[in-house]
Amino acid sequence: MSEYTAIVKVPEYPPHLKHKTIFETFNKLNPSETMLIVNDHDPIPLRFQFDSMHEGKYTWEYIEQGPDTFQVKIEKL
Amino acid sequence: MAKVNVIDDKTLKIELSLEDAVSMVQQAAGEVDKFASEIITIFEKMPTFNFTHYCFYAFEDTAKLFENVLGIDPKQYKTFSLDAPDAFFYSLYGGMASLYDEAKKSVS
Repeated sequence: MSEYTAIVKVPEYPPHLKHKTIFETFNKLNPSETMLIVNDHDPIPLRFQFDSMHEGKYTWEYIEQGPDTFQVKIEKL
Repeated sequence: MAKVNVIDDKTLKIELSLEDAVSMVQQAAGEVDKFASEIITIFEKMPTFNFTHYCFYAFEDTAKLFENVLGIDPKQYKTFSLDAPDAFFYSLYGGMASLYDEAKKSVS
């Protein structure tokens, strides 16, 4: 069984749906549940957006940091 | 002019310059009503992204100016990388700031 409640493989979505899908997935998490983001570049803009929308309500942990694949574990607090 | 390299049917590499930011501001200034939501979003949200990490697709339907300067629709591609100098982002922000009040009036 996966330790993640949801996994979002970001490159599978077109640009205008990437952030939308990620935040919809996060919003569906219950407290202490986690999601994994898999991306083809460092999702720095996403983290800035998380800080602006959910500051103090999530954790961000890099599971893999490139060079070709980036995986980030996000927990809803 | 933006350099857009189509790597394959899923991948784009985009290079933007200061001149592209000026072009986007000029387009917005010429049609403030049409681009009002873009102007407002870019001006209000860019600081959230520390300016230079701003993502045109972070919010829905706010990439028309960006797509105009490219001349293609990035939504047809799953992956694109954006290479732009800091001057691009700060110039764009300044331009949107100058149009912000007019854009707010046009949507109110």
